Amino acid sequence: MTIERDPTDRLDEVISKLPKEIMPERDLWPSLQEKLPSRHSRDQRQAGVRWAAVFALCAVSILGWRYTLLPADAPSESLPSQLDLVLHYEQRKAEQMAEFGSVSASFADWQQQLGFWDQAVAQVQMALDFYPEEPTLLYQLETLYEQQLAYLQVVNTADPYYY
Amino acid sequence: MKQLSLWRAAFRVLLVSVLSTTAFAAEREPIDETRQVSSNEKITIEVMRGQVRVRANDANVFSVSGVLDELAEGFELESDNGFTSFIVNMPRRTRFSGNNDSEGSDLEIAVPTGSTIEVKTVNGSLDVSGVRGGSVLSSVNGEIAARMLGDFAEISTVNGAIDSSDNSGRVELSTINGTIDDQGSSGRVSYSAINGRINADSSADEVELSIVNGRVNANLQGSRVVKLSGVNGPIEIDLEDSISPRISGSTVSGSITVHLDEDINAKFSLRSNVGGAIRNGITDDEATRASYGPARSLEFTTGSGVGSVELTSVSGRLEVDN
Repeated sequence: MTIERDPTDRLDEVISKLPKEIMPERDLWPSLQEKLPSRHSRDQRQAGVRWAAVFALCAVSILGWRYTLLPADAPSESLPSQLDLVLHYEQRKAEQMAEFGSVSASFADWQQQLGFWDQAVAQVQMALDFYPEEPTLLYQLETLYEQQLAYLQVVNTADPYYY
Repeated sequence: MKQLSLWRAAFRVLLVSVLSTTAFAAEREPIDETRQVSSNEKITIEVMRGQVRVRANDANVFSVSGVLDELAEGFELESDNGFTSFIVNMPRRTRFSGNNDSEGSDLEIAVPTGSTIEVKTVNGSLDVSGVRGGSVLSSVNGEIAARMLGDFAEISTVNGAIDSSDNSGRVELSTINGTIDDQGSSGRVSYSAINGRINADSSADEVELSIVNGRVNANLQGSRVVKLSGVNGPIEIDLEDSISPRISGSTVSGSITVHLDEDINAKFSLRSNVGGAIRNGITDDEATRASYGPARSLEFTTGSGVGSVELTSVSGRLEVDN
């Protein structure tokens, strides 16, 4: 009669017979050394990381300064200047007026009407002399020119025979 | 002999006068046409002169009845595939005189309630009501009356008046020299006049007002967003039942006056760039001069400052009170 042994006891017995230390069959260091980056390039990488951090810090500081110290409606760099607006719209106005044919009797006072806008434009420009980058004034100037152009468009497209 | 020549000349003048009168008194041809159309028909109507009344009906029918302009060269009525077009043909190169009841067409037009209509006239007057699918109405010298229009209503004139009542949806009313009277509009409304006057009594959620030389008087109820734009004319707004509205406005030399609720809860920012007066009738805060230049500005908050009131002018007067 045989007594069946616990398999884990058998495993423990086999493990206890194994040597406590084992040496590699070959020297592994040279192959590892080949795969490690050189000390020089590691230093370069660390320097790059440092510069990136400095750059990021500067960028955050500048943006932070911009958003905390400048008013929310400060003119952005893309906002056109007074001169840009005037040149752009006066040219468009001249082009539109050059296309004028005969004007309907319903718009007989169109020149007087344009004069009202011209006066308003002059007033806004006077204010812009004091505050050349004031966004609301630049927007007002743009709006006045747009209104004037829209009016010219209506006058120009009105049929003089039917109106 | 000389006397005979004078008699002949007088007779010729008389003959020409009689013939001219006959020509101008030409009969206005009657019209009575009906077409079955879809419930959401797209309808365009062009009538150069006269009176046009457009009424909505629940039947899917387009009909036109009345008399055509005495100068008309017939009419075109086409209806196909959801589109209907009615045009009174007029001779070209005719300078028409002003609107007059005895001249031009006199038409009653019925359209389905859900239809979308576009009506154009030059010297005619339009009276349109009940169309719920959207309306585009334009006239040069005639007046336009528009009632109970829905979805959208774009109404424009050059010299004619606009009388709008109980319109809803997106409502756009614009004139160059005419007057705009609006009662009971709702939804999103914009008013624009160059030389005309705007009188509004609206409960629209969003209101936009633009004026050049005319003047604005508006009573608004419950409006949440109000945008104002002026050049020379005065703008006066009375806003009720809106505790924290968002109001923005600018003018050149005209004034802006805004009357607000007693318990207004908003941040206020008013600025006049070239020395226009700023009056604060809400708190004791006073406008201050800019550190350089002639600008004056006033900033204050009522309540917790939920809404906003931002007004700017070049030299015009700005005023808020409650």
